[in-house]
Amino acid sequence: MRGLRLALPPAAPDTSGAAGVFYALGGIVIICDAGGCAGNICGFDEPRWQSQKSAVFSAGLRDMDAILGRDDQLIAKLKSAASSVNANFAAIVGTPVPSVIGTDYHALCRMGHKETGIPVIAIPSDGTHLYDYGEEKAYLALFETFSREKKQTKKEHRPHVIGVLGVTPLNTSMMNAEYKLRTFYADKYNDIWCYGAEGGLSPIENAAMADMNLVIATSGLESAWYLKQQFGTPFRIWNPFAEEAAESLLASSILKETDDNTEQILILHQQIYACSMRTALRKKLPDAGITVGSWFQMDERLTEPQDISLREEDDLKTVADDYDIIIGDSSMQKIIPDYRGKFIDCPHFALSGRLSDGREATVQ
Amino acid sequence: MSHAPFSITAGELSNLGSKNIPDELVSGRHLIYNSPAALSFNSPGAHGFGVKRAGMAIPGSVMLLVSPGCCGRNTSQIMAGPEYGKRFFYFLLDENDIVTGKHLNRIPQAVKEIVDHLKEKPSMVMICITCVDALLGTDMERVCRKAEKAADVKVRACYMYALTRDSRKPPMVAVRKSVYSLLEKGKKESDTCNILGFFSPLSDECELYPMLKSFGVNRIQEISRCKDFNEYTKLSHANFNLVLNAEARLAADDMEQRLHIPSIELTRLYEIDKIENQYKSLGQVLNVVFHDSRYRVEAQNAVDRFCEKHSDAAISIGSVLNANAFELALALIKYGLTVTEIFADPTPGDFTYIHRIARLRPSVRIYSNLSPTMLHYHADEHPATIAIGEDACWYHKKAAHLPWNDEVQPFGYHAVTNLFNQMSRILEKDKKVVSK
Repeated sequence: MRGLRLALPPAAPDTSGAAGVFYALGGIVIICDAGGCAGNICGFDEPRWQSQKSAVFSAGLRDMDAILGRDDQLIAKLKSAASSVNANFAAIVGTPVPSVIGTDYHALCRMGHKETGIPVIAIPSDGTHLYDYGEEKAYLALFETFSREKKQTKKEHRPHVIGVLGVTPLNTSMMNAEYKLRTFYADKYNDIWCYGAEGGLSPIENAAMADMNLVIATSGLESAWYLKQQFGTPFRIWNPFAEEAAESLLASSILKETDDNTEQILILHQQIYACSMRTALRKKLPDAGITVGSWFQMDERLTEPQDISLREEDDLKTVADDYDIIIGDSSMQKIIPDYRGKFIDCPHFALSGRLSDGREATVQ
Repeated sequence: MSHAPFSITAGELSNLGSKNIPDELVSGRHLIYNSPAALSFNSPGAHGFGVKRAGMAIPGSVMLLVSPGCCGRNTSQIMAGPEYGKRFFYFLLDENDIVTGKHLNRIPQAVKEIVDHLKEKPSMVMICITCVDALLGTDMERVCRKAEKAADVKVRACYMYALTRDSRKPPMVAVRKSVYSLLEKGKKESDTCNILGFFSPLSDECELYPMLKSFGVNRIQEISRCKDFNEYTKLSHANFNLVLNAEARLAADDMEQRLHIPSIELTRLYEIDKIENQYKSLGQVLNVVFHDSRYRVEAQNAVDRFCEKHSDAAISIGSVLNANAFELALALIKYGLTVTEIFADPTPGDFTYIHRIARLRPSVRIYSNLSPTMLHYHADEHPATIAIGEDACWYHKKAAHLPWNDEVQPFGYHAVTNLFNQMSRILEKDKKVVSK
């Protein structure tokens, strides 16, 4: 039945995705909710929350706010918070409540900017979409609002800078992805800007200075196209973490046993991770049939004919037995308890709330 | 721009009075800072019982959460527990549903599919709905009736309406009523009473059990101790309800109306003399005399032992704990201890305690976990020897920690005894660590 989940809890929603992109930027982030969404976002979907303070606030909406649409009170609360928090911008993250009552986000942004003097952006997330949708909208809003035309030539300024899109714990299932990316690319680039993950707004403001962008998750694709269009920055779609994971699998006994190389493999993850893993695996397993599947957005430009988009639990049940090996977050095994093939765990925080080092989303 | 957390002394707050509580201490008048210390406000279930977990208090029940995906996200944390693993199901709404309410027609079918999917038929299906349906004005009783017919199982609704947090019937009050709503009028048994208020049991050592038994109340029932649905139905046989948490008052009123079970309300207190008075009053209502001196002396001894050794300890008290933060602070101050700060939003009812704290120790500082200014709170500027409450522990990483937030509920003299014994234990342990 459409929408019914018997085995898996919902994946990370768009609200968490958007908030995650803003988390480390030094702005005020207002979850436009009654409280529960903010609790879910920080208490479950944001592993940095325990160790890194951020001005993430709930609007604390109450029934009369929703019924009477008291936007002026929300702006007054924002103004009051802005007077005690050094913030260079504010972001309003939508939830089901403003979606149902038809909140005018443009008006909120204009009113907020007028009252506080700082730029205010809004993401019309509504909790019914998945995290990658929220991330995509948040990245795009940031670049559209803050990225400036380059004033100097690249060589005069910062040669060999690579910008990376999609570095969030929800995508990478890691807390140290920036550090690892530096290791991967230290010999090729002088600097690595993980947009949204570190360095505040500066990398986003100076995005035009990057020599190239690397897109490691589908949520960064729209922004990569935007930056190409605006500033001519080329981009590459590749996830080095997936490549590393594939190499590790190939080196282990898990895939070595399947040496006839003709097996059918299904990789379930966010699309760019899964596609990168497929490319890496194909180098050693050229005859294997490898399918990419995802619960999240699938860009047609990256899709091969056999690839599958999953929406309902039944979608996975129907196809699982067509594959000898499934690589994906082990939480999905609950959907297919009778699956007889080999299930290789590849954590995806946005699904299970599990980091790749084994830590889980927990409170305190 | 101020870079200090908002705080006010007990003396200043007492002078302002309950009608002039500063905006920073009223959650509806500012943005809510979402720190780990404030999580239990935004997401009560993250630490203990929120609506989702509480809604499954009926033995053998399962829950269908009808909501956008975002409302069910943290449920996987609850599902990790062995008793809940296979009892949660989700019916996810899309954009169209949250605007048109079309999902309501499909709920009966969803309930039927869940019942068919389960090896064992559940005792009932609790449908949990969220802010979306609050705004749509959904008539859940009608939907539940339709679902009952479709799936041939009892179906009730509980309401996770965070929007109504400040209303007369906030979510945690409404859910208490929901979990007792399946009880039907039964034969009264004079030696039976119910304890209402919590979703987990009172501590086995609590004096309330032997004291009630001493005058013939042989069966003391709690929903959390019901092993199966049959035991749950026997809650309707009680002669009276003891309400230990004001959030259960609505449920008790409903039981009084429907099942003719009267109720008596008691408050969890940490002032020994007030506990004694409360038991005296209970005795008068029940027309018995409680012999509580043994428990009272035990509690007093635990207090004295602690005060003797640790009277100089600076104590920080939070509000995420099994106590009213202000009442606990007052009790500790009365025992001669040094409470330096309290993290809690005061309600008008708390001023009974605040005025008395102000008289005894007006310098105690009161902070709100929820104020955006708490971004600037740094524990190093407010040293504490011992932090009581999960939130206080989070702020004071270097202090001795007593979360005092176990699911098993403390009450009465035993709560005082246990609290002080634990305080002594953790400070002794802390000293040993320091000396090593």
